[in-house]
Amino acid sequence: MDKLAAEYFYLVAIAAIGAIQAAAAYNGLNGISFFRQKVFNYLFALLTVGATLARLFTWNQRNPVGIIEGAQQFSFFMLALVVAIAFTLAVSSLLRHSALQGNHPQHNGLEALREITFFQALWRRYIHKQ
Amino acid sequence: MITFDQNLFLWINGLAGKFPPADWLLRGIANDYLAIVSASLVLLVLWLWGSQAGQREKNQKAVVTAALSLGISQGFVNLSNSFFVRTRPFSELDANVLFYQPTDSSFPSNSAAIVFAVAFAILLFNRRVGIYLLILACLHGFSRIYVGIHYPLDIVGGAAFGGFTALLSYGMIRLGAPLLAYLMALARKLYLA
Repeated sequence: MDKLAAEYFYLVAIAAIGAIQAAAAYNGLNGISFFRQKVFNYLFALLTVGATLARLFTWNQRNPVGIIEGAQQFSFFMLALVVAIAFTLAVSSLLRHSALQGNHPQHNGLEALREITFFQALWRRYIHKQ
Repeated sequence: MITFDQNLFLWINGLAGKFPPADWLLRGIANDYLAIVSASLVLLVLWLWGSQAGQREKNQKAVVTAALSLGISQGFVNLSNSFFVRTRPFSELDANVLFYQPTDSSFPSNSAAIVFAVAFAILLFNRRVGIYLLILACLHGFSRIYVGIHYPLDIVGGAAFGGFTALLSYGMIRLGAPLLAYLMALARKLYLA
């Protein structure tokens, strides 16, 4: 992975993690939020997405002839998105495990992640069936 | 038509270099990554957005349509580039170039096609978010002319490609509703939708 592609990958991954936190906090998806208090989620999102967009804004000033070829850009974007989603699901499941442990979700799909974490949801559905 | 396009380019690009803060701002917006990544982040947020399951489902349908539209638009741009190559304005005219000089075809604007494809697709489902994305697409398109790397017609062409592929994707999503419903149900079982 060359330097520019690596920077692009990191920026997209960080921004995606921040964007998920903002959306999760606003829509009450506690199971994928990193923090118990919404304000910290918003602050985290503001810092990560803001810093990333600022870096992208100045991209051509920092790299006057530096571009990433289209297909490579698409591949790194998709990879960064997958990494961001996996990171969010894993970290939120660890951080919020004890706080959401006793809950019993009434819904399926993403709606269930209002009350339990992703790992708890998978555990209940596929391993310890309830 | 071509003369009008060149004259309009010269007028817009002629504004470059006169007001440094505007040059700085539009050079940042013109780059290949900012508008595309911003639009993609909006799609990611929209996937999770909705106070009720029904609202979220509609948003997720919009995201799938936008992603399909983006992919098809790239296919059309590549197809167009293999039949028709238009020289960049800085190679033909006395332009103020504030950006690196791309070597691929000027028509249609690839990045404009992407952002317009996403914006029009979202507009079909969510008017407010669609309008925000259209503003972003227009600003990005204008900035590409301002910095001297596209003619106005390249941006209009990109927007037309984007609009057409959005409608095409919308039709495909309606036709493939059973398949989409199956895939969404699968994603719901994995708590991803």
